[in-house]
Amino acid sequence: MNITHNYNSSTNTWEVSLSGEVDVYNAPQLKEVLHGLLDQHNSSIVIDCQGLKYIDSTGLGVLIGVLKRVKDNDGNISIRNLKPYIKKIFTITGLDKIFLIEVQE
Amino acid sequence: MMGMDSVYLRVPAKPEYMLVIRLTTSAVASRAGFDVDEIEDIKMAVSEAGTFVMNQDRGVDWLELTFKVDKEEGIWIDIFASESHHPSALFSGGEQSELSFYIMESLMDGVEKAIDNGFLRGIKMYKKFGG
Repeated sequence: MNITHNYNSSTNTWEVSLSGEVDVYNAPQLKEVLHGLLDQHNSSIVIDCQGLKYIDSTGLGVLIGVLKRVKDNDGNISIRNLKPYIKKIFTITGLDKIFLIEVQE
Repeated sequence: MMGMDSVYLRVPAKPEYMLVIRLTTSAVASRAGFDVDEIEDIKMAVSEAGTFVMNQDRGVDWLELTFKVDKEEGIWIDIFASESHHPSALFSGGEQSELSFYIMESLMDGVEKAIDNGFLRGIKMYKKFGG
C-alpha cells in the first residue's frame, strides 16, 4: 500500500492517492495517516484509487470511521477512479450510498 | 467426490500472510477455470474468511486452508484455525465481522460458519461455475 497526500487550500480539500493493496495488515497505517490529516485540517477528502488493487473489510472500516469524523464537520469523502471489481464491493455493502463514488472506465 | 484436485495451505495466523492467502487463492481459482471476475470474488471472500477466523482473539497459531477443485462443478474451500491457546473463547461478532461475513456471502454461492459448541472452528464456502 502507498499513500500520498496534498492539501488543496483553494478548495479546502485533502487530495489523497491510495494505491496497492489494503488489508488487515496495513489498514492501521491507513487509519493513522488519514486521521493525521484530519488533525491538521478536518476537511473533505478526495481519494484517488487509480492504483488501488484490493481493499478488504478492515480497509472499508477505516474509511467509514474517517467518514464519520469528516461528516461531523460537514465534509464528505469522494472516491475516484475505483476499478469496477472494487466498486462492486462498495455496492454490495451499500457503501456507494454514503461515499461519493466515481468509477474508472 | 471423484476427480477432485486438492490443494492445502498452512500459514501463520498473522496479518502479513493474508497476501499469501490471496495469491494462492487466485492461482488455484485460475487453474480451476474461473474467469477474471470470479477469481476476484473468490480471492476476496477467502481473504475475508482468513481475517475473520484470525480475528477471533483466541491465540491461534496457524490458518489452514483446503481447496477442492472439481473442474465440472466449481471450488470448495475450508478456512480453519489451528488449535487455539484459548479454546474457551466464545465466537465474537461485532460490526467488522458482520461486514466481513456479508461480503463473503455476497461473493460466494454458499458460506457457513463451522461452530462447535459455540466455538468458531472455521468457515466453509463454495462457488460453482456460472453461479
